[in-house]
Amino acid sequence: MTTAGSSTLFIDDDLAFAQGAAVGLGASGFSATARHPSTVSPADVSGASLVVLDEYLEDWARPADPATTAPADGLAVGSVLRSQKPSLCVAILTGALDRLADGVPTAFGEHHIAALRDVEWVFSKQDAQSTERIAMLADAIQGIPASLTPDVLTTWLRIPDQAWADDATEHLTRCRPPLAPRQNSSGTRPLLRWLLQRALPYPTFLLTDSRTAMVLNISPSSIDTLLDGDAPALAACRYEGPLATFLGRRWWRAGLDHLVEQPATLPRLEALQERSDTMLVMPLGDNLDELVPSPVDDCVRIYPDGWPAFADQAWALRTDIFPGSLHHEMLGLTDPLWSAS
Amino acid sequence: MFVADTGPLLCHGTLKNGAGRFLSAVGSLSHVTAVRTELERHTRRQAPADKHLREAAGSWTGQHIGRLGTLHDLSQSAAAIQQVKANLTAWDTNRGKPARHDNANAGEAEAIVAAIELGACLVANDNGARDVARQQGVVKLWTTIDILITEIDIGAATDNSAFHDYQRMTQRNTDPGEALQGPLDFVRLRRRSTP
Repeated sequence: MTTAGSSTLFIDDDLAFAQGAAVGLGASGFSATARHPSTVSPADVSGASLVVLDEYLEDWARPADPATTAPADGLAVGSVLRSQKPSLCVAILTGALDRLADGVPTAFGEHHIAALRDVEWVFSKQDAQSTERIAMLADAIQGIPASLTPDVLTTWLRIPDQAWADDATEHLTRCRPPLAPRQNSSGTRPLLRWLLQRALPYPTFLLTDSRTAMVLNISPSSIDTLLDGDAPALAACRYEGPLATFLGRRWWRAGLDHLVEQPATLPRLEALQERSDTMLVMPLGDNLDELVPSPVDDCVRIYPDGWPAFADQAWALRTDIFPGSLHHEMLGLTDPLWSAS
Repeated sequence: MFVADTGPLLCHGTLKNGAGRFLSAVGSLSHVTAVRTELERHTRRQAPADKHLREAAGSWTGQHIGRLGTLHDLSQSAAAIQQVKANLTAWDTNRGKPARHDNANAGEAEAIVAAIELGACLVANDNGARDVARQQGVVKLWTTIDILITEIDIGAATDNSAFHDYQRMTQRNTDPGEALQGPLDFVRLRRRSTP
C-alpha cells in the first residue's frame, strides 16, 4: 500500500500521542512517522504526502526571534511545510475544534472549518474513528491521479459501467471538478479538496443514505433490507470511489434516478415504498445533520455558509426558525420570516 | 405550435420578463378563451396575498394580451369540451379530490381540445390535465419544467438560474407541476423532455 513519498507524517508537541497515531495508522498498512515539531527534517517532508498536525503546539521551545522562524501553531507549520512541498496535503488533528473554528459554529462541519483554515481536513481528537478516517484520507491521497483529464477523473471516481453512467458524468460536470489547471505545483491536491469539501459533504452527485431513502421513497432502514436480498441494481448505485465511507455511505444520484424511472430493475422496491402525495424535502437539524423527509410546507429554505449553488436546496423546519437559532441566521436575505421575528 | 393552460403562463409570469422568455422557448403560441378569462380574473384579485398572482397574470393580459398568440376558435367543439371536463372531474373523483365547481377546469378542458385540433404541444402542469390529455390522444405534453429546460438548452438560462426561477415560482404561489430538489435534477428531467 505504501509508495514512494506517500508516508503520513504526524507532528504533535505531545510526541507520545503522535507516535500512537502513527502506530495506529501503521496497523492499517500505511507508512507513518511521528515527529515533535522541533525535529521535522526536510527528508520527513519530502517523504510525506500527508501531514497531520496538532494545532496547539504549546510544548515547544521555539526561537523567539525573528518572528518568521517561529510558526505559532499547527496551521502555520502546515503552511511552512507546504511552501517546501506544494503538493503536500495538510490535516489538523485537534482536541479543540471549537477554538480552531474561531467563532464559526462547528455545526457547519469539519469540511467547512478545513476550508476556512486552508487545509484539506480537520479531525477531532474526540472522534473515536479518527484513525480510520485518517487512513481513508491517506489511501485517497495515494490513489489520486498524477494528472487530470475527464477520463482520468471518471475512472478515479469509479463511475460504474451502468446505463446511467452518462447522467452521472453530467452531474459531475455540474459540480465543477477542478479540471484546470491540470498540472501545477499543487499537483492534483485541488481535486482532493473539491471531493472532500465541495462534493461529499453536500447533496450533489452523491447522496447520503437519508437522501437515498427520500429519492426511493422508502425508509433508510429499507436500503439494507433491499441490499440483504438480491438487489444488484441498487448495489451498483453504491459509491465505491475514493473516500467512499469517509463521511458515511454514499450513493450515485444518477443511479437512484434510474431506479425510480425503471422500477422493474428493483422489483422489491414498490413493496417498501411509502405513499406520499406531497413534495418532501430534507430539513437540517441543529448540527446541520439530515433529519427526516418532511412536507415542503413545513419547511423553510435556508442558505448555510459554503453550501454550493450546485447542491440541492437546504431546508429547515419552520419550528426551528426563531430569533437566536442557527437556522434563523441562515434564512434568505428577503425571507419574510426575518421581519416576522 | 403550443397551447398553454393557465398554470404555466402564471408560473413564467412570476419571473422578470417571464412572458417573453416563455415565448422565446415555445416559438409559436395559441390560446383559448377560458385561459384568457382565467388570466383576466387573476388580474382582478385584490387580496394582498394575491399580489404575485395578479402581477403574473398581468404580464399576459391588457396591453400584453398579444403575447397569448392566436385565439383558437372552439365554437364548434362544445361537445368535445364537455367530454373532457367530465373526464377531468372523474380524474379528481377517482383520487378522492373534492369536486371543483363547473368552470374550474374550463381552461384545462379547452386547452386540451385545442391541442388535439391543432396537433399542438400542450403545456400543462396539472397532473389530471396531463393524464386526461394523454387519454384523449395529445402526444406532445410539456410542463413549466420543459420550458425551463428549453431555456437552458438555448442558452437563455443555466441549471442554477433555472432552479432559482423554479423556486421563485413556488414561492409566489404558482405550481410548476414537478418537484425539484436542486439544479442537478435538470439532468434527469432533460432526458424525459418531449418537445
